[in-house]
Amino acid sequence: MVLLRGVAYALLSPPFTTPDERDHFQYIASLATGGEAGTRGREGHQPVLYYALMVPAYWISMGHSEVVQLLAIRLFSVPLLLAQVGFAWLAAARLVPGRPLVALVASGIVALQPQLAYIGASANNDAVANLVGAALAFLVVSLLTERRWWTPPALVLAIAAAVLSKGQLLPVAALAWLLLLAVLGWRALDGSGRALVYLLPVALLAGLAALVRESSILVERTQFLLNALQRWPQALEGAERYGSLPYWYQLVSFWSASMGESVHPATVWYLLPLAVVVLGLLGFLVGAFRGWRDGTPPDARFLLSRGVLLAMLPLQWAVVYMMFLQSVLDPHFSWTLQYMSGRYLLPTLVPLALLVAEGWGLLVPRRASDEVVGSTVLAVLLLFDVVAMSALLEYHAFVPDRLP
Amino acid sequence: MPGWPSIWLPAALIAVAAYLLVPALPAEVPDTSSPPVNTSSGAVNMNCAVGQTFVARFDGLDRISVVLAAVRPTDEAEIAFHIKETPTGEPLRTVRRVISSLPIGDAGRFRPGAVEARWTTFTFDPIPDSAGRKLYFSVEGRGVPWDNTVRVLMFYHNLYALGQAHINETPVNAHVPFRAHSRGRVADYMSVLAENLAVKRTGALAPAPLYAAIGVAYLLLAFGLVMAAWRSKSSAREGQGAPK
Repeated sequence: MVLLRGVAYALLSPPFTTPDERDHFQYIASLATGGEAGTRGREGHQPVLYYALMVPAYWISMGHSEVVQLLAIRLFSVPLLLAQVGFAWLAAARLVPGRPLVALVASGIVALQPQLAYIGASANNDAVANLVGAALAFLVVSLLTERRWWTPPALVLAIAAAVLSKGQLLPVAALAWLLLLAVLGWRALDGSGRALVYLLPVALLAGLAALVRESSILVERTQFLLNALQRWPQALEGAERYGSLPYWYQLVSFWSASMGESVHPATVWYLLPLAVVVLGLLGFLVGAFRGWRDGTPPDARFLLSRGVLLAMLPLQWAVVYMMFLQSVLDPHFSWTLQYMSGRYLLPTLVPLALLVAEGWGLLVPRRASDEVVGSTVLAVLLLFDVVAMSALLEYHAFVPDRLP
Repeated sequence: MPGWPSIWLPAALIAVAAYLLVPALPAEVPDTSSPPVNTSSGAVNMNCAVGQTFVARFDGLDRISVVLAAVRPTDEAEIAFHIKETPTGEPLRTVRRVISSLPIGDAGRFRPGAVEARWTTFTFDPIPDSAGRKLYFSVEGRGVPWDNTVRVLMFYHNLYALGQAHINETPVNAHVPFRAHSRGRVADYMSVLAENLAVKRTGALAPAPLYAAIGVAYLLLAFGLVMAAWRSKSSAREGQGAPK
């Protein structure tokens, strides 16, 4: 299903219409030809990981038209989607073992998220950023729920991959890095995992490399934040003028598909995925409260793992909001609201899906109802997916009558 | 699997009925459109009007969408949307809208199709003989004060082959991004879609049946997925005995 959706989006999205697709394609072409196809272009400042991964797709389609080459790159990106669903499944199975409903709903949310498929089946480094975000979520859950020798080094690799994939991932990667240091330190103190402490220098090096690689971006963003704070009255006025971007608004945009950020004319459809998310989060709160009330409060491990997953959401949202403020304050800034779309929240889709899915499990404590709940949630998400895909078809139905 | 035939049979019957009936249902059929790009916007107020000539493809033109935004909306003024034969002709259809009902912001800063898109749709009685006719639509605001100017998304230079933008009824080298719909049936919609999917596609990617096959495979997989989720726990219980 995931592969079919990916292929469908790769075929249905008109060539070079997804966000900055021409520029991402140019970067890959430049890399694949050693610069013969021109410079890296406007996306040349981006870290290299995604583009390097897509070079084989460019090579095998050389000699064909650009449209075919683009299709090859899009199809090469599709398996990354599958990996994200796998990470969601594995993380859910560790977070709430013995409750297949949670794994089913979590992976269903990731598998049927229209914008994830749309972006994932286009030429865009978001595809790798989203994958790395999913991997970080899985590894953080793994780190906090079980002791496996491979988890810390894999997390170090994932953090390094985050640095090499996209700047917007840095806050979440930094959180994972701090967590890794804390857990390794704790285990070292505990004495039972002393060997793991040897990974500390590696983790530190990875963090330092991240700072060096992205220091210019961090300096720029920090500068901007200070600027925004100094000019907060204008920022607030501007935010009011353009409509604020609370998390729920981002969530709506987050689910929007086709053309990247387009919204189906009947916006009421967005109530479907939002209901899944909101009821799931509500279920999480209700379930946690029930535990306190019944005298079985959640233990420290529960609180820490869910707290870290929860913290990832506003952290990623803050990155988006910062970009929004930047556009509000600087009318000449090229990032208009279109760039503030919820697609920048996609790297934290897996943490969101995990919390929502666990919430559904807590909301419906009777396991006998799991198949009803699971199939209903999937049906709701599928219905929305059909609507989202129809929005893409609607876009297709308008091929503009351009001048020759 | 004794339960499966009883589920698949009604599903297959529903699918066949849908295949036969759905094409005959009424639908808004995509007609003509100009490229949805933005660089600028045109002002609509007591001194300015923005218009666009275009050629409809089908009979029954009944809907045109443009990207509008008001920086300072007010209940006191309204805009008028006209369809005319020529920029200076008499309106064939007119739709009025209070500007407080328009989106707030700057139309030039929003990309059509974005979640913040400002598509505003004007629906009117179908024009029965619209196919192939050159028509003109305009957005006018004779009672709109300067401070409450409404902006219409425009693009310089003109990329629309079958017409061009007008400011105060004078042609300019620009186009207004717009979408037109005609009243028709689902079958018409599907034929437009099939025609457009083949645009710029060659070889194995061109034939519309490929896309139909993907659609059918998607629906089958979706149905199978929900059914598998529905039956998974029951199967587990059947295998393990009664639930505790």
